[in-house]
Amino acid sequence: MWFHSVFLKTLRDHRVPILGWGLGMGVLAPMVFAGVSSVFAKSPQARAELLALTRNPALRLFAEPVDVLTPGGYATWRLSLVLPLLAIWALLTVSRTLRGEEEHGALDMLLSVPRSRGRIAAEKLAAVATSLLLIGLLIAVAAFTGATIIGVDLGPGRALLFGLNTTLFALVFGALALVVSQFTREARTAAGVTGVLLGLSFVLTSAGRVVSGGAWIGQLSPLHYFELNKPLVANYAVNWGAMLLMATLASALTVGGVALFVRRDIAAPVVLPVWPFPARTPPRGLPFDAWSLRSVFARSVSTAARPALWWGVAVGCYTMLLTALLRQLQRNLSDLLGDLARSNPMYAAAIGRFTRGGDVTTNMTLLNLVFTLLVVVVAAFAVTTANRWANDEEGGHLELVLGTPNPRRRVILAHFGGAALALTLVTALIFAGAVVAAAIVGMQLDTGRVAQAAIGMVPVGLVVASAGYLFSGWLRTRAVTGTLIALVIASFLITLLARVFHWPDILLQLSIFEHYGAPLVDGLRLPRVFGLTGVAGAMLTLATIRFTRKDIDR
Amino acid sequence: MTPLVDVVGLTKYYGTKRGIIDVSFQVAEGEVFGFLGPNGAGKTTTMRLLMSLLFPDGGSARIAGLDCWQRSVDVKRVLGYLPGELAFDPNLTGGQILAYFANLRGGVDRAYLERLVSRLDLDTSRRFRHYSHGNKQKVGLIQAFMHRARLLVLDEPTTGLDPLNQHEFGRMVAEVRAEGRTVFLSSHILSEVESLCDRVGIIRDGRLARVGSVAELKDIKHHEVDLTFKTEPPASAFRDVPGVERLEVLPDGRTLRLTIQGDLDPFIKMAARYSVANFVSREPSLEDVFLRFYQSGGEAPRKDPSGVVS
Repeated sequence: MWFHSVFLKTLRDHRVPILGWGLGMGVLAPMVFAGVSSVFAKSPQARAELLALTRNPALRLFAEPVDVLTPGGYATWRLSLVLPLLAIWALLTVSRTLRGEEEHGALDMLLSVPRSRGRIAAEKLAAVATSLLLIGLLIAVAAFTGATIIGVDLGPGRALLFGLNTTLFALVFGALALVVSQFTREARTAAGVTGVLLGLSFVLTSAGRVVSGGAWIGQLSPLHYFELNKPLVANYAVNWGAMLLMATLASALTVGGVALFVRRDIAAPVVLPVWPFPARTPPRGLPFDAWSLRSVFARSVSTAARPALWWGVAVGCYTMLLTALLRQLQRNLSDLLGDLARSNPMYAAAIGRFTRGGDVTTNMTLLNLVFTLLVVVVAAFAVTTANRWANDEEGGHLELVLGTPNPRRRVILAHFGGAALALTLVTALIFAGAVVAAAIVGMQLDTGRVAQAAIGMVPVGLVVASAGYLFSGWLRTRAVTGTLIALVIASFLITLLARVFHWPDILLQLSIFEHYGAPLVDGLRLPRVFGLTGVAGAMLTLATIRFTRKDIDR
Repeated sequence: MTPLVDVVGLTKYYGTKRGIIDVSFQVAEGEVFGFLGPNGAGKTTTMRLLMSLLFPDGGSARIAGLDCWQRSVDVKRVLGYLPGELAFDPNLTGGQILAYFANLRGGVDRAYLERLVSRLDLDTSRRFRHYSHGNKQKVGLIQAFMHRARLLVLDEPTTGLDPLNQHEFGRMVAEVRAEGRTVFLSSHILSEVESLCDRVGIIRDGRLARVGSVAELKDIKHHEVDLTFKTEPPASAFRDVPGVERLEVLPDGRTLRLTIQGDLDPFIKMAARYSVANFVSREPSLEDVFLRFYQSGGEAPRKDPSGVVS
């Protein structure tokens, strides 16, 4: 049955992600329902604490709190940063589906069958869309089942809308990845560019919420339309227009992407009439003295440097924008409080701290929220470095290198060394982004603490990367990437929810981000840094032992 | 004299699936050894085991007296390797790849490397992703030959090469042999092995079926003979001649076509008793030998008296 059409075959390829993402994302809403219901039931004080937390001005950067004292409202607010991450699967999958298969030559054979190129592309993309709908359905079923068991007011209709809203948002970025991949040679470039656009959509939505008179900025972002619907919140009106807009945008981008695909050469990007960057002429001859070709380590650094630079620049800019938005948020707040200060001089001193951006402690506390998110982005970058290693082995790129007199342990350690340097580069650019933005917008920061917070991200990245190197001793590339993404999201959720719901401390300790802590506020805690580095070292040692003893896949 | 390659009872399973079973052979220094077998027979598995890319489930392998797994780095100092499927960073040029591997080997004779590039007519300024299959194979061959290794392990080396470059490759192998160096190559192109190799191992279903010189392997050879008589051919007289496997009367009614295994002498003596108008004998190529070998399940071909057609 599954091999009767391109559509069914592609759908079959997605069976594990459908279950994994569907159940993984699906369990979130019931988990929050269960946690928040028990907390609310315990004491009015807990409700007050929650309310106070949601009113933290800096948190408005990330989500608009609506009806947060109900389980549905609280879940919507808390999961507003997590559910859109389904778009990561969509953009990775669509990038791999056409461009990735072209890279490996797999599409040549498929296109030799008597079916039009457009039909093959349409069947593949329809399978991705169906997979996303099935994931949405699983999310809806899980939310409805959880709500029914826990006693939360959520009907099947709104549960389905909850799943559909998540699916539509992911579809938009899948379709965007399709268009982007028409202009790139490699699937990972397309995925990277679309990932940056996903990050940008978060920033634009934040700006729309924070910048006065800047609501139009938020409207440029697909995330804004995702957030217009809050199906878990009882009595919150359904915005059909927003859903229709996302569906139309995804359809239009898909049609445009397929139109480009059927008109261009296979395994080549769309040729633009005017290309702003002149093509680099490959070096002629035999460049024996090029630094990047002198050793496995140098080659690894060179390979990792380019994506690290792109990631670093993108995340650095993201840091700059968020820092600037934070300052803007402070100003909005100070305007509001200014009236209060004038009416009551007692508040003037406290409120004055916000008005000049001069209270370093307050600024660092606010910026700490931004860094809590940035460390997750660094972990995501670490996933890509591990993915590259697994892909090198699976793609047979190590075969020739291991045919030279270089021991396996040197090869894996050199690769990891390159990844570690890349991680350091990304965190250095985050540091630069925060410091430069603060200087521009007149926000005083403790530069030393910002440096410590950036340095503290490196061990977190090293743990994620070394876990990926370890997993690749047994798993295929896709499984390594999927497992790491699941672990990063689970870690993030634990950090997000564990304290509020008073989960056991041991669970909290399982989250890597918990060990990152709040270095902007508390300073860098060396035992934690050494602990994380030790864990990374131990996993890398195990990965090296495994790599020196395993058969090399082809 | 210690063989350069010494493989004893080498066995490899992929889970429950067969890789190779109890493979033993030796390759002497200075010889060109061909490893023959159809797809999936176990040629690549054997080579990847020798390169310590795979770990064995049994047996041992030594190259230049060194254990292939315990001393893998030292082993790789003495050899050059061409994998069966060549993959590398698609964004590097051919020149960058060659420079990289030259550096990983601690430097090579640059003049010799440039001569190899010129001989195989490789454009080193193109990126790996833009190379045709044949040009990728040239990059692989050059990186295997460029450091004048004592032993070359080449997995299907002429795949994708055009006839001119195949010929050039043949010359390169001949030069290696002339310099006293050793080549261990796999192929399923028998004419190539026949022309390049001193000795051949035939692998079938993961087991090494035969090892011998190209000439020795022809002990399983046969002759196809067309014998034209001046009168009606005496078919029955030839049916029981030792070595005759198949006998057929051609449509002209005067010619017998016989397939003879082994020694031709009894057949010649029988033919001499009759008045013969013409005699044509075709010695089979190694390809024919190989095909017969596989068709007969690796056993010596049996006599087939029912092959007589009147």
